[in-house]
Amino acid sequence: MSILSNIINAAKEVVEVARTTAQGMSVTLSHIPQKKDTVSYPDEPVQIYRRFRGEHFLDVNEDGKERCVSCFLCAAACPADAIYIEGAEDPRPYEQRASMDHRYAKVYQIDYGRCILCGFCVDACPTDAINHGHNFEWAVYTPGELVKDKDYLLGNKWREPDVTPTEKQRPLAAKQKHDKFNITLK
Amino acid sequence: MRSNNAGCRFGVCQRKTDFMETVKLTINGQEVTAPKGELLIEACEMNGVYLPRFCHYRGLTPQASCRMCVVRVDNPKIPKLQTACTMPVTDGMAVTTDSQEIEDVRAAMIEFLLSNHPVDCPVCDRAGECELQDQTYGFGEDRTRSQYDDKDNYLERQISPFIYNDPQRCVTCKRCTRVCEEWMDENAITVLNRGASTVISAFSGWVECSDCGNCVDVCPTGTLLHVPYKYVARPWDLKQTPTVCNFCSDGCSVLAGTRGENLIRNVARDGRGRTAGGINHDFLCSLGRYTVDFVHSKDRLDRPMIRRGEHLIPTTWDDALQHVAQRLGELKAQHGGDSVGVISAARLLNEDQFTLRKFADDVLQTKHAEYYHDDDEIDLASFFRYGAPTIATQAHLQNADTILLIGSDPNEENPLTAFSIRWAVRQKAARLITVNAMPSRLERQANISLRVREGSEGAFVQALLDDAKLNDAAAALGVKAEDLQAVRKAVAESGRVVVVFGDELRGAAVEALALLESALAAPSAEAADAAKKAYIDALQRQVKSSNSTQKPSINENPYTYIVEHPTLEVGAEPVRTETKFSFLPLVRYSNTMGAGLVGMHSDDKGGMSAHAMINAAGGGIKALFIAGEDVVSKANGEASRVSTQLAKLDFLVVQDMFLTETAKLADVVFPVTSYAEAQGTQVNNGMQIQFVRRAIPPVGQARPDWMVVNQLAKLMGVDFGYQGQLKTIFKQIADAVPGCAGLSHNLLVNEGATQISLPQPEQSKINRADVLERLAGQVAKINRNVAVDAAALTAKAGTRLKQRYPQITQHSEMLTPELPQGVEAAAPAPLVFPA
Ligand code: SF4
Ligand code: SF4
Ligand code: SF4
Ligand code: SF4
Ligand code: SF4
Ligand code: FES
Repeated sequence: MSILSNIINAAKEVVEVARTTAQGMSVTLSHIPQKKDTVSYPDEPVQIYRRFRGEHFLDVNEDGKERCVSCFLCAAACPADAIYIEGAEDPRPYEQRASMDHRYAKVYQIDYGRCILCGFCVDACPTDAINHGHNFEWAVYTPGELVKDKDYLLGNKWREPDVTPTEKQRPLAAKQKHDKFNITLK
Repeated sequence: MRSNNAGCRFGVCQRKTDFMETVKLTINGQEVTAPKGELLIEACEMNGVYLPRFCHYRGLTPQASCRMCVVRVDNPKIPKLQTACTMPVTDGMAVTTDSQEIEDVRAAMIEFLLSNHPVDCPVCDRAGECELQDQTYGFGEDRTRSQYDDKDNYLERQISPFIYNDPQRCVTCKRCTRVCEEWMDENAITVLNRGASTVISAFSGWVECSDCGNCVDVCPTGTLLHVPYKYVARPWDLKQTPTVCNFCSDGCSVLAGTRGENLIRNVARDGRGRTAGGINHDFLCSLGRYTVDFVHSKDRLDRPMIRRGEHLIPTTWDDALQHVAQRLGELKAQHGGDSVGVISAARLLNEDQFTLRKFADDVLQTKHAEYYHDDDEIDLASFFRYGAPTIATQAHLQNADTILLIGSDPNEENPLTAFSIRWAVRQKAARLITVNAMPSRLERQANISLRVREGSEGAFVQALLDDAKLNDAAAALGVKAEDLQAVRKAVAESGRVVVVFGDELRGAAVEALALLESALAAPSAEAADAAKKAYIDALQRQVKSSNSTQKPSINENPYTYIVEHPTLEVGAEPVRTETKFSFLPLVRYSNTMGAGLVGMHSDDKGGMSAHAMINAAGGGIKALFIAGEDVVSKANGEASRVSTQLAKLDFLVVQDMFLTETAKLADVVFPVTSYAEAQGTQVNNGMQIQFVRRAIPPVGQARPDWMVVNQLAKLMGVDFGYQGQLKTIFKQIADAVPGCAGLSHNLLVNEGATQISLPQPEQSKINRADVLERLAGQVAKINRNVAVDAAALTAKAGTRLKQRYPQITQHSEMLTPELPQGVEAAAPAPLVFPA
């Protein structure tokens, strides 16, 4: 009696396992032909919303002159104290200097170890010099590497997927040695 | 009723008014009191009603050009709005300051000012401490109606090595020109053009002036800016530490603006009207203001150095200290304590001086310890021989009836004193009498100015003391006897006399100053008042009768506007002294007084002076410990002799900020802190002790002077009991030094400058006959054939400051500024109205 019931129970179990597996697999298999929500990053670019607040870029005007006039307002607005600026004067005429105004930022650093990507700096900027880009790739080996300097932030503009430099901006864009960001914009 | 002493909007105005005669008035229906004769705008502020203003500045002549301060005066009824900055308060006055009508007028005025303003705040260095910004936020509209882009487009330009000018930002309040005229008597900048084209400018091209920078500090907008501060920082980024300047002996307070670990700027007053609350009000001179860069000079010593053969090589603190302790110990054991000498710089703080003295007494057991001073420096020993005559502070000076300036040129050497003298003359109708061999700009304010023979100043003291010798003294001085008589009469009649004297007076002449009190007794209060009134009346007549081509000998109208009540010192009562005479000795360095006070001199111990120690090098003196002084560079024309002397020493220790000529000869050099990194107390020429705050952490491995000496002492087996605390040192000073009892760091931090009171000279102890005889001997020696030649002396004067502050002149680029390239060719053109 007991041997028989044991056999019957074992058989029931086998059937049950087979059934649930088939049930589970049916869900899984039904998704295979469907459109996927994940991308196989980094082999494929990530798609990002335009209003995503990623790593900043420092902008230049249509003539390729740095827009930042080193007014320190972004640093003043920053709740995380992430921005450090040193101002300086470039007395050369507009054509020769790198910046829009005589006053420019000699040093401009953002510490992404501190930045909370709140966007206050972008709001504060009177010349639209600082903007959020869409980069989020920050993995580094030391905290110091999270402090990004002015050249890096200026270069970020040309790494954005949908930026086409104007005639005068082209030399700047060409100088940029980093790759384009691995993203597309939604 | 509200208190009379309510703070103003910015919390800076805390003047006490209890001691003044007051009137009652009604402001916005509330009855308040204010000092009689006070301007309405100030009276409102005292009672907590802030009126917007651009042109009004306390202590400057009223201007009434900005019309921001308008109020409605209801009683007595005046049909039009009135400017509160020109209206004195009267009893029973009733004013309204906050009606719709007034708000509209203010907004309209702001709109008017902004109609020609570039509003380029992002690139303007004043932004953040700009009165135009603040007033626009407070009283203006939040948007512009002006579609007018064709604003006067003057370019920004540099108009002097220190001043940057953007004419377009000007609100023509003329604070700058008034400051330049009234505080500095330079008249270096002026108003050009008319109407909408009005600008502030130099007369032609470059501003030629003493570069005090005060015009920049008081400018409410970004029109005038400091060149060294240009684009460097933002006011909200700066930590502002009130501390005390380290150069001349006046002891101005400065607000040291620091960003991170860097000293960025020194100002007397920031754009929000905050001052360091010192004795200097809002005044600062070019030395105190613009020499901040030496602190971060690349030449600063950042590590101890030790001699290995020819070279000084960097080492660790431990090694350097050990080495010094060991060598000094050996030399002391071998030749006795008196073979070691200690020399300090007069600019070191009391705590440093005191520790050095202790080091000499308790550790080295030498009697030779002295602060470095030249033989031609002011004769303090004679001055204090019989006790301490009343010493005048800046406040005394500003309240004097008569100021006697004997020798020196405060304009160059003690700029705050010069400022106070001008202030007293202009605002309080003080009578200035100058007795000087060298021409001084202060003579322009003088009622009587005597240009005397070089080296004959002692004869003037004689003339004051003894009427009988007046003619002889006049001959010695090379002046007319009547003039001398007039001076004597004026001094005799005056109530309060401040004698400001320089190093020209020597020996018996300085001692004789203590006799003035008894020789020219104080007149009764009524007589003094009558004399002052007669003086003012005479001035008035003179001004009225003079036509424009014929200038009176005094400054045209020295009391254009006599402020009835306040002294310049915020919160101070007009000072009265027990004695008629008070004295301001123009000592050379920031802490010369303190160094002597805490005992850093050899006199009473029978030790050698600093010069004698150097001369005895290799003989009686085997080793020297020199703190902060560059004795080689200071030895005018004798540098090579002094270096040879120092080379004879067995051991030389120098602690300094830089590798000076003296330090280059040393066996061990310790890097020490500058004034911005040091903390402690110092005593100015008015015997006021002030607290010096640390503004930045030490540069490199520098340590404060006292700390180095304390560590050495520990290594040599003596514990000074400081427990590593500055406060404890001061406690020991307070216990040891007469006059400092009861003082402490905590007290000084709160009280600000505190005068140390020392016992008056005992008249009975003074041997009158002896002093007068020696004075007569001094006068007899004056060579009366030498011509009174001011021009030759003027030529010498220019080099004085360089000799005094060799380190600063070598390591501050700002003091010998280079103009931007190509600037010489293109001096800024005068801004004349375009045709
Ligand atoms: S995004 Fe926010 S936290 Fe980051 S730098 Fe800007 S203001 Fe600072
Ligand atoms: S980025 Fe913008 S806000 Fe920041 S300093 Fe530059 S101009 Fe000013
Ligand atoms: S002067 Fe004041 S209001 Fe004018 S640009 Fe400068 S900060 Fe702005
Ligand atoms: S720096 Fe001083 S002296 Fe020169 S223009 Fe300005 S206020 Fe006058
Ligand atoms: S430069 Fe400055 S202080 Fe002088 S008038 Fe213009 S706004 Fe006033
Ligand atoms: S403050 Fe009264 S008119 Fe300018």
